[in-house]
Amino acid sequence: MANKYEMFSVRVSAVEQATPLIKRFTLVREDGQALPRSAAAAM
Amino acid sequence: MIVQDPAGSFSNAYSLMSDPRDLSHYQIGVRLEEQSRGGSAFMHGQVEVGTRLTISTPNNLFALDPGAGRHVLIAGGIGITPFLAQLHDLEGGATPYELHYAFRSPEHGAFQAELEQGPHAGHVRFYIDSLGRKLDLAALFAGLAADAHVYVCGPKPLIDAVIEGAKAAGIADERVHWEQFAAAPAEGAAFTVVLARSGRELRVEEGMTILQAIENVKAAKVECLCREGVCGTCETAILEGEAEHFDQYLSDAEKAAQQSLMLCVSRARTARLVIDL
Repeated sequence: MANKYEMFSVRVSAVEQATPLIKRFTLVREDGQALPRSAAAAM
Repeated sequence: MIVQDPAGSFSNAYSLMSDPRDLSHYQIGVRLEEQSRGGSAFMHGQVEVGTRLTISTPNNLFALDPGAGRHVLIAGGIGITPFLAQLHDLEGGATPYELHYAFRSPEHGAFQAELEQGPHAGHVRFYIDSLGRKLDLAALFAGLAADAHVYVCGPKPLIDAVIEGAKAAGIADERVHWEQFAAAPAEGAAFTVVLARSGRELRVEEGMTILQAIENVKAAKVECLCREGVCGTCETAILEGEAEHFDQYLSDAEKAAQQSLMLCVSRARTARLVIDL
């Protein structure tokens, strides 16, 4: 009954130091294709 | 979403903070945790532009309630990240919303500038502890509309304060939603876990997880992606005994049913716990 997660490879396209302790990472697909839609986008 | 390094040494769960409808990229915010198991230290110390990572599809663990007449979002520190994704959905929508964002001191207010300047400017209030600007939860809840829903994300003390404050104000549990950030250390006394399939008995010491106890002696193979009670991959059936649940995956009803537990965070409420492994 374990959750199935589809895993895939991405490349970091940007890293930004947002605060002394927090970094923001931007992730893109290596082949330039669109990323999978998340459940949050269904609303 | 789950994020792993290419070697698979680190695996952590992070919230998507970019627009969920924009599929050209994902963004995550990662706080460097002093008590890091390695995940945030790796992200901060070794990940740079060009680094390859393995990730999962984002999974919405913290959805807005479509029945709410108003969304009241309360963020503490890094707990702002899931709300940043939700704000994209709320923007221009029919349901009014407000964001209350508390942090330690001005330099720790991540993404404050974009919140102040962007389309949400009129909906956001900042509370900065070092400047004595504190969030008054009692006042906030006292003025809450009857159809408003409250969402809180941040450190455990903030979540506890919101849950207790909402209860004191007579706000029904269904109107209060929370997501804990910076996994609280699951505390509790030592106990014995029995792996039913092999009959092996393992001692889970104080400060150790069932997952670690199993891995230390390679008693069984357990898949666990997030290692913090979020993803559900290490869910295992309980055959005897009761669990003290510390995960955010099972619902309250599922926790009360004592049918299964997450090996990465949950502990035993009984001296002995027999699991289907």
